[in-house]
Amino acid sequence: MPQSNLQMTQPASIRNQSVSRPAPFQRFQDWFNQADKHPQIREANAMNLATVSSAGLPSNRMVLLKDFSPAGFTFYTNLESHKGEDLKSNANVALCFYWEALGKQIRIEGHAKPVSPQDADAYFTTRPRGSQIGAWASAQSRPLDRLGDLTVKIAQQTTRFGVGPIPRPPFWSGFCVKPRAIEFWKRGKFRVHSRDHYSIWPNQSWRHTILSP
Amino acid sequence: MLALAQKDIHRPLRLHPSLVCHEVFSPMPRFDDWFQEVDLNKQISDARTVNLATVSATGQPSNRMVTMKDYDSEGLVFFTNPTSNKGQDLTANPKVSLCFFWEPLNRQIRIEGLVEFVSCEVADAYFSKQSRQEQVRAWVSEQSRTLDNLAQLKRDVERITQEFESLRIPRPASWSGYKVKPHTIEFMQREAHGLDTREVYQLAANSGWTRECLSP
Repeated sequence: MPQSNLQMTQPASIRNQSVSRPAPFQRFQDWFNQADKHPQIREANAMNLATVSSAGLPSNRMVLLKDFSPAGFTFYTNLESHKGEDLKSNANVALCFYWEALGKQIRIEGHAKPVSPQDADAYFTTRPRGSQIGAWASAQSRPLDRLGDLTVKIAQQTTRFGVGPIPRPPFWSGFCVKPRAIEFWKRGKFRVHSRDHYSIWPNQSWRHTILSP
Repeated sequence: MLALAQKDIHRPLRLHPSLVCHEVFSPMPRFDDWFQEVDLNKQISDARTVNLATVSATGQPSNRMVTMKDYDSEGLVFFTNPTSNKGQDLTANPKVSLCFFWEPLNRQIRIEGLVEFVSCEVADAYFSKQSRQEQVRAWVSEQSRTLDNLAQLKRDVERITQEFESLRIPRPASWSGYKVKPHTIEFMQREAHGLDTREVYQLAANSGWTRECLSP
């Protein structure tokens, strides 16, 4: 089943020109589509996000890719969560998609920039109502005394909003990761994997190299 | 460290004696329980595949999938070339994190800790248990260096295979083991209602492990 319907969005400056998209983005779209159609892959847009704390300690977890374009790769989070705190002190991040059923991996390194409030609002309105209430109810990554506390908070927020529209919480938004390097890894026979590495040059053009597996 | 020679590294024993914890809150027996359960799941081709995040000297993180070759009450073991990108990161900053994601079971385990090298003897013991193909591969690749073409690499594999013929293949210095000693382990389970249950264990200096639930 096609799950995510994620298609590359293009900034107006690119959309109106007949120039082709930079190679790594076209390739990302191709691999992503393949993963998205694969019957054994439930969430092709699940990706591992690595952030770094102010003390230099990395942490990584799965998040969902919600948009991508040559401008970058977008995800959403509670800004007061562990990753939200990390991003305040170090905007450098890494992303890793691993589609085991395809034997493919895409690794991205770059810089996370907050999305505009308008973009965050627009995405928040598309979320299921339960997720919107959850965003208000859960103090992500902070201690929870009893699991029942969360149920109570969810009930409170549900009552608070009634049947009206639910606005985006001020502590909930997104980040767009502008890539500096993208690597396409494909499993090979005898562990001779292929690794295609693209890195961006100061003039914004992409340089392609093949790396030893 | 475990008595590795007696252990099938691909399928660690259920509750190895070293996993019988002395501290009430050690999370490793729980890790063992989850791992064993996942390992039996037919929908998961290799439960040992884990995302490893490292940080460069300039503060840039990078992450990639690696294979956890073993674990015990002290930590988790993986192997890599110390001159690869991740090897260089580890030399500059031994702080790492690991994330197992087992989608069919809606489970995630997140680990933060410090790496240290495993001894040469232990690394040799692991290497001797690798398949011959993997042993040959360890001699060939200059991991993460630029490569003119893949055909060259394949020719090198053939050449090294012939050179060793039927001889025992020793461990190259480029195949080194690292052990992640955790100070934080989080167990995440996606529940039917869409929210996650998150339990985190943390090791505080001199006071053992503590455990708490986090908001999803």
